[in-house]
Amino acid sequence: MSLAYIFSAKFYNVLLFISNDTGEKKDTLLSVEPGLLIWTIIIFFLLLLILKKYAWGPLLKSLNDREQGIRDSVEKAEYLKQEAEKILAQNKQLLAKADEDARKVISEGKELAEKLRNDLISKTNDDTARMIAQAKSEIEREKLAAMNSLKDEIANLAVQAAGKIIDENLDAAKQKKIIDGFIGKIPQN
Amino acid sequence: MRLLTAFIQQHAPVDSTLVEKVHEDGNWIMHHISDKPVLTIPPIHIGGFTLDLSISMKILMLMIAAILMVILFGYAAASNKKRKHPTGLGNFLEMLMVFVRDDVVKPSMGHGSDKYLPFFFTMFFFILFVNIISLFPGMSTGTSSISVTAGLALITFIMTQIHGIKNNGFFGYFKGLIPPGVPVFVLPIMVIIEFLGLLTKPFALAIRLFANMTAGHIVIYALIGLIFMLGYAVIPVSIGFSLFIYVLEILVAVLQAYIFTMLSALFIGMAIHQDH
Repeated sequence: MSLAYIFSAKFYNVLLFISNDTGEKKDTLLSVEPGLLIWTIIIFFLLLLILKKYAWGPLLKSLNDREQGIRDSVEKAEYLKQEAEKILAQNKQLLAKADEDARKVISEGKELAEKLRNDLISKTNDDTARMIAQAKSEIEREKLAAMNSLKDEIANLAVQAAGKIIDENLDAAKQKKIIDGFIGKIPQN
Repeated sequence: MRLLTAFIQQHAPVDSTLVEKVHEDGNWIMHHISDKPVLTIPPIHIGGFTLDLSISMKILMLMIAAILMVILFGYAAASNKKRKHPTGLGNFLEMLMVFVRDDVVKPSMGHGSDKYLPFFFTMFFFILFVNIISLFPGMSTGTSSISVTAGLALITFIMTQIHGIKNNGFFGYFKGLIPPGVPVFVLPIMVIIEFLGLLTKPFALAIRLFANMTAGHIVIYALIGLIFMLGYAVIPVSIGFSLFIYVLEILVAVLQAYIFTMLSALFIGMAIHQDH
């Protein structure tokens, strides 16, 4: 019975959306009802108007704002990154320069110190040498003076002694000349 | 097959009155799919033309979908405006909007599509909501009526003509319909073909949406009807297949909204940028 129904025309009518209704209102699936069509259009455009004002506008605006914000942020971050890299490079350069300067200052200082030291040493050496020389010449002079005075003393003593011994045979000036000539023959030391 | 039927009938007898009812009323599927009046408004007579604006089940479905959209998108707009980072429903709806904007409208329309976005948003979500609502028990399918889909296709058709004429001028638009470099003797045929092409596009839109949304429901009703024809023993098979079709219909509901919007965007975009 059921299989008979499957092979019946009624079943195919159903499948092909053909209505068996014989009522005044022909209600098939493929008939367009103007009322329904007009309602659809009215509802659609009302919906479009309402949503455009209260939903699409604000939603799109917030969406675009956010997207713009993200784009701006990314651009800004990119820019800041570049800037930071630039500053870093600058810093590195400055640091290197400072390092070099410091090294230069140190080496200059060292050089100066070395020079000063050398100068001081040489000056000290000179001073010492000069002082030694001075002292030596002083000693020499003192020695000479002492020698001279000793010579005089010896000559005088000799003259006196000779005068006493020879008893006034010779005058003092003659005696002294003889003694001086004798002393001159004595080596300096 | 007959043996199997007999076997099922014998071991799982079906209430005979129900079987009779199903067999008597051959239009029971039609009955479920067709429109039912909800609020009758006396028809308006304009000339010799009668316009019946009474609110039927399908119009009610369209209204429910529209009200739901206003509530949901109004809420989403308010919630997204309040927060810098959208969450929950606002986030979800915004994701769908981004999908429509970037994956449906923009590739179909090309540049300058932002101006038409509200229209396509309304179209996509309206069809989507009507389709989805139809999947809930007790609801009717708004888009399984050719009148409704014809209305939507008519909107696309009118929008196509309006924007085409607005962007290319009245004569420029209709001249642009005919591809350049056509020999003169082919021109009369081309005019007819292109004019028919204008009409077939929305016609195809209407039929596609209507057929897709109707087919699933008919198949589900037919599967349920098998229970009364072949006996209760087929319940697992019927329910299983119904469930499968039902899940498929969720996919179809989204897919048809997508296709309708994409083709509308394509047609309007073609009317605006006729040079390519």
